[in-house]
Amino acid sequence: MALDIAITGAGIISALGLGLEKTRQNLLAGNCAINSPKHLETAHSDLPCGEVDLSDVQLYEMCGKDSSLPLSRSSLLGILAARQAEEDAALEKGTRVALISGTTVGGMDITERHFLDYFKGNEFDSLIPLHLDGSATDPIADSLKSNVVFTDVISTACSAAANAIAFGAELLLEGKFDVVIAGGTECLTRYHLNGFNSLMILDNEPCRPFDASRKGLNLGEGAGFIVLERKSHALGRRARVRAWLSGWGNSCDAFHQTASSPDGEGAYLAMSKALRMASLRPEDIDYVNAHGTGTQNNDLSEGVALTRIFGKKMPYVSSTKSFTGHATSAAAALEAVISLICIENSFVPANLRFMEKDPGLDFCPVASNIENVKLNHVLSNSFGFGGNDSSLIFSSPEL
Amino acid sequence: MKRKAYIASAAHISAQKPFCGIEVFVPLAWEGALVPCQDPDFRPFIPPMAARRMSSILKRSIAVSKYALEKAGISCPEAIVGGTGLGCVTDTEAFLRKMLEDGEYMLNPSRFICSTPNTIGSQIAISLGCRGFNSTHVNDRFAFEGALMESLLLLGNGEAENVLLCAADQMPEVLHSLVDRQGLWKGRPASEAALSFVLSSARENAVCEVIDVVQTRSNPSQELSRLLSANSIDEIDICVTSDLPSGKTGNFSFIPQEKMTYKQYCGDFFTASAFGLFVCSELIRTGKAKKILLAEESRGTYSFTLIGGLCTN
Repeated sequence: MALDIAITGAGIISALGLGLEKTRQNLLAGNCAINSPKHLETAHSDLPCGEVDLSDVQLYEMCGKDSSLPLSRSSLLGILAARQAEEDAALEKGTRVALISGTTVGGMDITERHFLDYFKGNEFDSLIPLHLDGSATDPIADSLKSNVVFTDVISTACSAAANAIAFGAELLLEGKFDVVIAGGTECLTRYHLNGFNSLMILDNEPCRPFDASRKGLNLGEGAGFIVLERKSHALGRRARVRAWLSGWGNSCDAFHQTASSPDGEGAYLAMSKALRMASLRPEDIDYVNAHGTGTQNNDLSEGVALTRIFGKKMPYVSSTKSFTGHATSAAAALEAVISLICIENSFVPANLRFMEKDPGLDFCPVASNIENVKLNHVLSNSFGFGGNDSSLIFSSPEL
Repeated sequence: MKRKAYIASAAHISAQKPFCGIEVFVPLAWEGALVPCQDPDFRPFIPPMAARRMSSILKRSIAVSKYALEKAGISCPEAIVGGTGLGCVTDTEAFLRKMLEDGEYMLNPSRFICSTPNTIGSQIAISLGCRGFNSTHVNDRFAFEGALMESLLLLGNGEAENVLLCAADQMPEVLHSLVDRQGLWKGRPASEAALSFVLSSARENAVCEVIDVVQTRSNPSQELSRLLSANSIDEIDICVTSDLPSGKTGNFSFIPQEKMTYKQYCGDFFTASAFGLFVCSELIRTGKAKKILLAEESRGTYSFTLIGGLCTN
């Protein structure tokens, strides 16, 4: 089963910018993109976010959409990333594809702007259906050159995009489709900024994942999509393989709605399953793109799980949420694309602002970029509220 | 070889009497309104202290799941896959309204915590101590179909021997008018429900087989023919659908078989097709049909699910 799912295209938009090249440059330059939000209208402008520095108006323009057509910011971000992915994969116009997106916020940006108006009259009625996660996904399907014959939306909070990618891979293995575009999209909203703030897990400075003094996470936004096909299909159409999706694993921590278990059991099981599927030993993993939100609880639980898997032979570990913020349901998609960029360009991105080892952890993350390092296998973790833990393994196309 | 998926047990909490069979279904009388869900006594399923902190959708989902698992003789499933259109919308509405009316300070996180759609699947997992595969599909009217499809994949490739497949939606009175204004319910009463199915790769003691499912945004009649031929099926007994009963009109005029509708029993909600699947399993259990097609349509997307009795294989 290993090395049967080829990744032949990728698209990304995040606080680091639009596209793989911009993302690569900013990662290599160590440019953190976490700042005071400019576009999100919130009383909490003191809370730094990984915001995409484009207004909705600019996003409409970039998508070539008429601004009278109501669209969620999640949809607009998703359109840009998914279009890029299909273009990157050089899919022929009209290719039959399945589109699987992970999102939780969906059209909440529109709902929170007009919710009270909905009860006053009918003026904004056309916006009501945009709230739904499916309604945030359909415009992405309708904006592609490919012929999207199937859509699905997965919402497992902060691991949604990982589960969307894994479901896409399962559909391919089953022979349901030849090409799947999978990933996720999520825009910042006041709703979840305030939700996370009420949980007191937001840092009012840029986050410091795994650092002893870490104080919490910063929210982010963005979208990432990758094009998946069976190896035979990809080779048959002479597609360039960016990487293999060699393993995926999903487990529920079943511990608490918002907290991770102290032994990191869910995370441990997700990583173990992914390794087993990929027929890899822990020492085969060169780099772990950690979930690493920057909260005390997550990083400790994930760190304990990492030690349970890797023991003393810890691979390079970093959380690129220190660049992008935590894009919740899109996070796994951003980090999937970042993992591809790292494999292709042979570097491990820094875990920015790491200063001091946590006495509760057996390892330190990578404090600054490591270049010229061959990455054969990258493990990417994504964990969500409710203990929805998922791991993906990306492998070098040279294997 | 791909392994089969059987329904070991199925249960509902809906506008009908909780957990009842098709024999006692009564058509709903409240046309165009919001028909209440008939809740069971939750005490046998959830400790009262825990239940007090849960919204109705969570209580129903946990109760109906435990009921279905007990019926199937399984204490902890190997996977939990859920579908929900609107998710935990009561808690979402509460946190959102508080934030909009009282401002962005001093907010209590408890409603936010329970507002993500995957709260349902994860609370079921927590209540069962189930650390297996866990996912939630939220594709509006096809949220349940996505969950069903993923369940069949997990059973088919042997990743799980059994899967708890759930569907749930709630519709608080305060939001009903907003949704109703969209014409979404097409004149049918709206309602709420939670359903659970224990799917298993074991044929023994099963109710029926879920043969296959397909969902498409284009060429529905061609996709249906392909589905039937891929599964070597020439004849179906009946088509269960929320579409019109007449074979001549509606979205499924290309399906010649007799149609049976089901939303007169459960009202409408985003994952109502789960109730449709329940009806199919009941038609087979009671010997009314041996091969059934469950057909759904919404905004140009179609889904077809094939359900078969066990003696016809």
